[in-house]
Amino acid sequence: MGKLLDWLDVRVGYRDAAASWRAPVAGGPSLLHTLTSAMALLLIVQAVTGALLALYYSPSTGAAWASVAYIEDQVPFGSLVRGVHRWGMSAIVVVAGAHLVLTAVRGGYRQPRELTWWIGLALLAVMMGYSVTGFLLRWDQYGYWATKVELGYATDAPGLGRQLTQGVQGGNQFGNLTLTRFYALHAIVLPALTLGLVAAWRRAARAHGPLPARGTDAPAWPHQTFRNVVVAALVLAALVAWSIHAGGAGLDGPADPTGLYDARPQWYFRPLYALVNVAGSLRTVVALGLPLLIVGLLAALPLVDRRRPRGTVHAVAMVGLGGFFLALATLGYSSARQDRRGADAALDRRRDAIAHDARRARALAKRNGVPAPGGLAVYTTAPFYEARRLWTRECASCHAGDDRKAPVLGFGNASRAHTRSLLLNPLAPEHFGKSPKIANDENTMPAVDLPVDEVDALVELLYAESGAKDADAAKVARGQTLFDDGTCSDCHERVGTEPSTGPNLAGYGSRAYLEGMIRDPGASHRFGAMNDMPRFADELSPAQLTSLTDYLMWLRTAAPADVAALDQ
Amino acid sequence: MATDDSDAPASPGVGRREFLKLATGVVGCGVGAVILVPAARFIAHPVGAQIVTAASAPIDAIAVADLGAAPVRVPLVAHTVRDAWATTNDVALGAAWIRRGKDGTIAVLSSVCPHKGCAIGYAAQTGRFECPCHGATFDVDGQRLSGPAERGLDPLPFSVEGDRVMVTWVQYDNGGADRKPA
Repeated sequence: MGKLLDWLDVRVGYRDAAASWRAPVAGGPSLLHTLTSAMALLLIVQAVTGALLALYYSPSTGAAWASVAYIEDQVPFGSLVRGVHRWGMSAIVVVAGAHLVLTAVRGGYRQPRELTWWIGLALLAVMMGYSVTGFLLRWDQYGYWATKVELGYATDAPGLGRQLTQGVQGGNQFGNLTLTRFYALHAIVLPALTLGLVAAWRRAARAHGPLPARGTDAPAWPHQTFRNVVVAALVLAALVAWSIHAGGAGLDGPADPTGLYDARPQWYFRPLYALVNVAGSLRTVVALGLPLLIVGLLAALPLVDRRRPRGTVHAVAMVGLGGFFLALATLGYSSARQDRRGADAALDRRRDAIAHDARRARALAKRNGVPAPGGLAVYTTAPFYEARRLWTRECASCHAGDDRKAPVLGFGNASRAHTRSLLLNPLAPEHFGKSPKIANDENTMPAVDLPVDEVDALVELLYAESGAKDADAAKVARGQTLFDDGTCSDCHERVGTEPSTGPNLAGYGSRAYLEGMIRDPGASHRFGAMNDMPRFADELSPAQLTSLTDYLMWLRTAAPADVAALDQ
Repeated sequence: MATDDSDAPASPGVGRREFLKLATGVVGCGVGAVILVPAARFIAHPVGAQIVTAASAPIDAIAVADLGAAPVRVPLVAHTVRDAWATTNDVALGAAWIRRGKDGTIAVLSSVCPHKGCAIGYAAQTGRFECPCHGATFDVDGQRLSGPAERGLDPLPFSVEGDRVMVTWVQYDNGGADRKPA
């Protein structure tokens, strides 16, 4: 083993490299230094969870949302991995912010540490880049609209803003190239930049220590390392606990370019959002200028405040910057308060609708998969989707609502109760009372005026025509006699396709009867001259006719709750 | 903080040092486990799982009347395939070689070579199936003639409904003399 390690050391010199990790910590072990290792852990967590997500993620408009929904709802620990990856970004902002504040307060940006400070700022900018590129990849409502807004401001940048934005976006609108480019930026370009900057930061920070020393130098191992590991464990525990508490990363329904969405930024961009919204005509200037101003102010610190630590300039700079960031935080907080639940009923309703779509789309995606056209097509896999679309487009204007011109179609049709009601009052508004020709034809059907038991027998006869197995044979036989001997048969046939004044009632209430009625209601054995309804045999494809008939047959025995369940 | 860093044996600092080393290791391993266990489960999700699923209904392959003594290559197109997150219609699962002997019996063979899974071709001149990858050959009934394959071509379950040949696609494991669904 020793020989093997010697062999390795001669070739790659790992012992010197390892020794650099054991270099004494300037000023001795301290909790402040643990922020750096907490940051290192968070970057590693992001790299690991990012690589895990890449095992499943597919960057195309057809598959992006579907693959993310798959991770979220079907891959073991998928929700946890996504949650940690998303909230890891927030944790990075928190830890980086804490590090930045401590460094600034301790004057850690002063000569000879300017470069460390600037590299740190560059890293912070790269982190923001991850946030902007990451959320689009979900291709859900949130990612789509939040990124739309961000790129909208970028387009307004003077000079090459439009060209640069289109370059990043891969054209003048969102599409496949937007996803492939954002994915490449998020998973290859930015990580490469991060690696380079982290290496440079570490080299610069090692040269002088990240902060002016206060105590005597002491070895990192084990005292500093122990603190590092404990803080790292606490940060990781907090991150996992928070992401579980927050319900993971969240996933809205698929991006819908036609939809209405209240896009709000991540919390660390809230102050910017709030300022932009009060900036009036200066919104573009603020949106683009404020981030530059912040980075510029921070970058200028080593140039402005270069004297002794704890000098007047330092105090003024710290108070000024502190006040500035406090004002931003207050703005951000009050903006978030305005959007809190219960503050705006209309906003809450829109959010509820978005949440409802998200639940529905994800449940459908889990059950049925997502059709090739992409996320939005998941809604078409809902039960009776096509039939209900046809119903709304072709049927509802006449068969539903107060302005209808035909009988109500739906629950209970062709049931015993429905048939009885029809016989007793054919011209009731829910039956043919609103059908112009039938209601006004002198040959139209009169109300059946027979003793109850005879009406029962006729109802049973018609009920049996539907093919129902539970019809009472004795009643049916009596119904047949009444039908044939009474006045029914003056206008109605009951076999084959014999033409008659009223509809031939063969198979009344059956699937075939219903489909025939949709195909050609004006046929001589159906409503003939009294027909008001268009013929759909040539309007609808056979598959459409089948699905519409299936739906109407299902609707007869359904309850309103069943229909509502279709939308859940 | 630095006071307990003395290297003198039996000083109280040594006990603390050793404890810190051990604690660092334990906490570090804990952090590692919190990351690794879910990661392993996450990664292993497709192992042994049915990620690509075709509707199990037999596939309408070809009309009986279109079959002759020479086998014809027929793509088997599933109506619906579920592949991880996606549901796709009309997906070709694979191909079958189908023929109808002089006595009217129909034979349906998978076009997947039982050696390494290449697509088998049919050489009309020799009347044999030949694999383009490693040269396995089979007679027209799928019996192994020569080459590295350890078994004959895999027959696929089928039925005749009316004038249509309905085939059920089965993917068999490559290699081995026994036929096992993959």
